[in-house]
Amino acid sequence: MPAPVTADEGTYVAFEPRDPNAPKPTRQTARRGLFARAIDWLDQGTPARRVPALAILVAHCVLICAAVVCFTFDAVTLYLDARRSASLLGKMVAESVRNPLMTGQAAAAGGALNAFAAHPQFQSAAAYKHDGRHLSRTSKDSETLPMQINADTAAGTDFGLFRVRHTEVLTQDGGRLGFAITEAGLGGMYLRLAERLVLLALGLGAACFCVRWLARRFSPPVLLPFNELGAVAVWAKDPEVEAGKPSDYVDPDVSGIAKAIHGLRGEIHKREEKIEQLQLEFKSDVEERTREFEQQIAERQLAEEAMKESEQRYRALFENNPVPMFVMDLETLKFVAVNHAAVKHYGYTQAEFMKMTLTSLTHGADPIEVSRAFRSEAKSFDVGEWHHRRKNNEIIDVALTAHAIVFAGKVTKIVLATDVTERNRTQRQLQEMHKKLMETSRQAGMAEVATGVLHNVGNVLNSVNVSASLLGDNVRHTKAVGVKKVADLIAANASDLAAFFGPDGKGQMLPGYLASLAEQLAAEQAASFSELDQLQKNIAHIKDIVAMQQSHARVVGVLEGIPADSLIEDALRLVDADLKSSGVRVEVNAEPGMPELHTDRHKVTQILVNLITNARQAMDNTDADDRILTINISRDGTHGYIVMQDRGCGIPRENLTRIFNHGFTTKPEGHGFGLHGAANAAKEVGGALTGASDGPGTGATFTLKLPVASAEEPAVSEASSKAA
Amino acid sequence: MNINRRILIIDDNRAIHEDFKKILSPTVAANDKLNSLEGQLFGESAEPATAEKFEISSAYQGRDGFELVKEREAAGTPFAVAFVDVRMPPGWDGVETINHIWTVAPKMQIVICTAFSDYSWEQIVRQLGKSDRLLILRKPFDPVEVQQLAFNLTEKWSKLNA
Repeated sequence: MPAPVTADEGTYVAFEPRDPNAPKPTRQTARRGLFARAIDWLDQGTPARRVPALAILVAHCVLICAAVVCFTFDAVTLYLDARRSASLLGKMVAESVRNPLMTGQAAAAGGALNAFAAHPQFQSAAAYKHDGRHLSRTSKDSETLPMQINADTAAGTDFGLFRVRHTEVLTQDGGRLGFAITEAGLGGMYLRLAERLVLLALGLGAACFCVRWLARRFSPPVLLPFNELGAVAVWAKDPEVEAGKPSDYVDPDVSGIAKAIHGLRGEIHKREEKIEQLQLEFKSDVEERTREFEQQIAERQLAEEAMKESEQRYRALFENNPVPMFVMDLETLKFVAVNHAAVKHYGYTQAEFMKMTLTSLTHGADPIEVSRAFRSEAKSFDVGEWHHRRKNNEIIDVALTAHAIVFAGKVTKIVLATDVTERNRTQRQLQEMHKKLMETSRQAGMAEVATGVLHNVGNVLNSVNVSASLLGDNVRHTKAVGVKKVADLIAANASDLAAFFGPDGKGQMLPGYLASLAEQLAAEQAASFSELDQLQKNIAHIKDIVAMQQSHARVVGVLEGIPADSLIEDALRLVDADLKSSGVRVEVNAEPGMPELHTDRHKVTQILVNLITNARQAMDNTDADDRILTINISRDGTHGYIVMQDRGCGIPRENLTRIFNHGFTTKPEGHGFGLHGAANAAKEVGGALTGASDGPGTGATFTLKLPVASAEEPAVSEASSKAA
Repeated sequence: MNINRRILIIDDNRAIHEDFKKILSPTVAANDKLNSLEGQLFGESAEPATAEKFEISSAYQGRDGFELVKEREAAGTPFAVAFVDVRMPPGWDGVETINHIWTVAPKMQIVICTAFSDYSWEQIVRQLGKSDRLLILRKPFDPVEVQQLAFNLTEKWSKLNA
């Protein structure tokens, strides 16, 4: 079978092998066999070339297969026909020899057998008696049948390559009559088979030729572009080639394609130009970008340099700062860095510092307290004043300020430690001096006269003044002068007293006048006495006020931060003896965390002593077991409250507004300026004093409201400056 | 002219009230009978009675005084003059009381009494405004001063309200 591409192989060789180094298929390689060639093909051929070749191959295979099937079928049919006709011949021969066998006439048998010699298939035949001896036999060519056969020979057909022996057993009335054996030749069958083979071969040859012809007819147009494209490509590559003349270069059959390609070529040229333009643009773009990038790099370098410079500056600022500074890990409070000033000020070396924490540096503070002080969300904040220990064990006061910074990738605090030991010492000295000054001024007692005396004495002095001026008026306008006038009148009429006192004399009126005058003088005297009495009382009052002011000699107007309980302690100490002798117990309840009160110690002490004394006196008639004075200390925001509750006689409702009035008292020996003074003093220090009672026998509650300390520094109160 | 002689004293100190009463409405009245006898006997004309009587009302706390002022204004018998103390614990002080009084009786003449300068004149002016209705009387005061104030201010009020 010829390979489909063998004959015109040269024509079909690819114009542009995919791989120029690949071996070109040659006639020699074609001789290597169909399979190898097919492999070569499949290996090297382009898909376009492979498809038609494969089609041809498949067509040949189909034709061959069809031929083989036809031939096999024919052969089988012929063989079966031959067999059947041989079998039929055997039967016919057997029937023809039945009678002769019965009669035993050999001649008749021979004649019957010879009658079959004309049969094309007939080769030889023989009739045998029932004992196997032959009755007659005939043959076309040489005698092939035996003279004697086995009496037991069974009926059947025996096939040979060229002959078919058919053995027939003849029976009559259940007994064996004899045998008839016929040999039919298969030569005719072979002849016809050969005939068929030749025909088939011819047919196959014709079919193959047709396929080849068709392949040749249709393959070139399919493969042509592959060949021609080479030329087209060459043409298309040549910039000199004019448009519209592709036929000069390529087969006219593909000139259409060539034209299209030419069009494509133009398009490609345009694209190329565009690409070139784009490339140019891209190039300039890249250049520009590169320039920008370089500039950025340069800028970054500058920035980095600046940063490095500023970092150095800051480092220098840190290192050479005269204020001791630490950088501290917030978690462990360990020092990460310390500056020269810290080393110099504290006496520890850098290495020693690195092993220390802020807690170990701090003296007299709980480590938890220290770490809590730094727990703030604020970026920078004051941490307050602490005691730090120097290497020489000296304790110094430092004010710490913390700022959050990122150091070596960790959030740390930079801590500035300002030594305030000297400042604190000076401040203490200043306070000391201030106190001394206060003592001195208290001794001088100037300020006290200004406030207390002016107000309290002022009021009484007013009454004294009024009384004195009324007395003066009385004396000035006294009718006592009438006595002298009477005496003068009598003296003038001394010469004629009888007529003067006579029935017509003026003397008649004198007794009436004198009686009226006596009455008047008595009234005047009574009024004067009354006024004098009041005057005396008032003067005694003034003496009392002065005496009391002296006994409560105090410094006025110095406001300082004082704990409320210390104020109460002071007051209780002053009246301790009184309380003990009266059997009064005092219960003090202070709210925890009570801040200091911003007030005047002496004024508040005076108020408290006054209130405690009042409470004590109020409980004189209370059962001895129930004489309890409860003092509660509380606060709300800007004010502290000292609440004194007694279980004494209480205050009647109508007196509640009067208890603070000047001169109001319910005590037999009282003057009525105790609560008045206390309320005024409370007002002077920015507070208030209020009293409450549910009535007689229910006890009374006095509340002293005082401002809470906001600034520590002592200040001279406004009240005292006004008083001066 | 009918002169309004109603005066209100607001002071927490009762002794001061007594003082005012003594000055402004003396109790020792002139003995008319004695005076006429004197005239007949000695031939002298009796001195004219100069003591003009004032109607004195008292309040011991600023708020009480203010209530009294309101009451009298409503009743149609308003006060002409008030003497007001500066310090009157525990309630309103004088300045606060005056502020309240002037809201109901704006024409009332007020004398502010003070034992010592709780407030300076500047402070009082700052709080009450510059006013011709206000005078300051310092304690201890002179009875004549009080009498003059009472006379002049009642007459001033009466003229203003005529």
